[in-house]
Amino acid sequence: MRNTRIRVPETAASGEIIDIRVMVMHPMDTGFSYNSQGERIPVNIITDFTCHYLGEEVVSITLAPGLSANPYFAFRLRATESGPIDFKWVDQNGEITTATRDIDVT
Amino acid sequence: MRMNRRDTLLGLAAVLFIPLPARATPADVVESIAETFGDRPLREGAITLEAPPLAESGNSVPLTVSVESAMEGDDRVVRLALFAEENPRPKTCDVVFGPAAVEARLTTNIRLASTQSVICVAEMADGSLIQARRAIRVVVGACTTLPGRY
Repeated sequence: MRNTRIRVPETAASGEIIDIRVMVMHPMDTGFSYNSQGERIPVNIITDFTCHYLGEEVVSITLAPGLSANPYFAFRLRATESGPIDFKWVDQNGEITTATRDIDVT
Repeated sequence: MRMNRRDTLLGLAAVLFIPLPARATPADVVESIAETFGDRPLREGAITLEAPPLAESGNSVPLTVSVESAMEGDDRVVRLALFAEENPRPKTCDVVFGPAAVEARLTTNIRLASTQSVICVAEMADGSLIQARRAIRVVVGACTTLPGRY
């Protein structure tokens, strides 16, 4: 489990389009940099990110080393019912990080 | 430790020949796009790429892509990919929009090796591909900076 920073509004009107902003703490090493001993740092990246709202997929992203460290994504979805918004990250070693935020739709 | 001229010269030579990552060429990018989406015709389309015209550090360049689309029926963006023309690995991310997506819009931070153009290719529900590009000037590229700095 890695640290995550997620911003989802706590409440929303039905039908409102809301902004979701997520970030996960990860170095996203490209394999092109060297440490202070001059050794090459191997590739170490998160490969997949998915977001589901009420069990339905919103986005599914395949990441590459071309994304910055601590990969950040912002996207939108339409709030229709109260329920969970699930986030999941998988890194190249299969390490899974998950997070859930509940949204209250009035 | 005493430094003699031979050690100094060898050390200097070692520093000068640190291998730099190879850059991609526009042909590699075309190949990378074909690999991702298959060999299909590309046309210019209504995609907006918002990014600073001048990025101080290539390690993290904020980029927003949005494709003009109703996200219904045939006018739906199913997939979108970003390519940085001169990065050692051009493809930076590949986004699939699921049934709950309402806008084909995504903001992220990308790495850029040098001043270059970023290309966005979007696949519509009817299988057609559209693309757009935007030039971004980079002061310090991502590959030349020290590790541990973001």
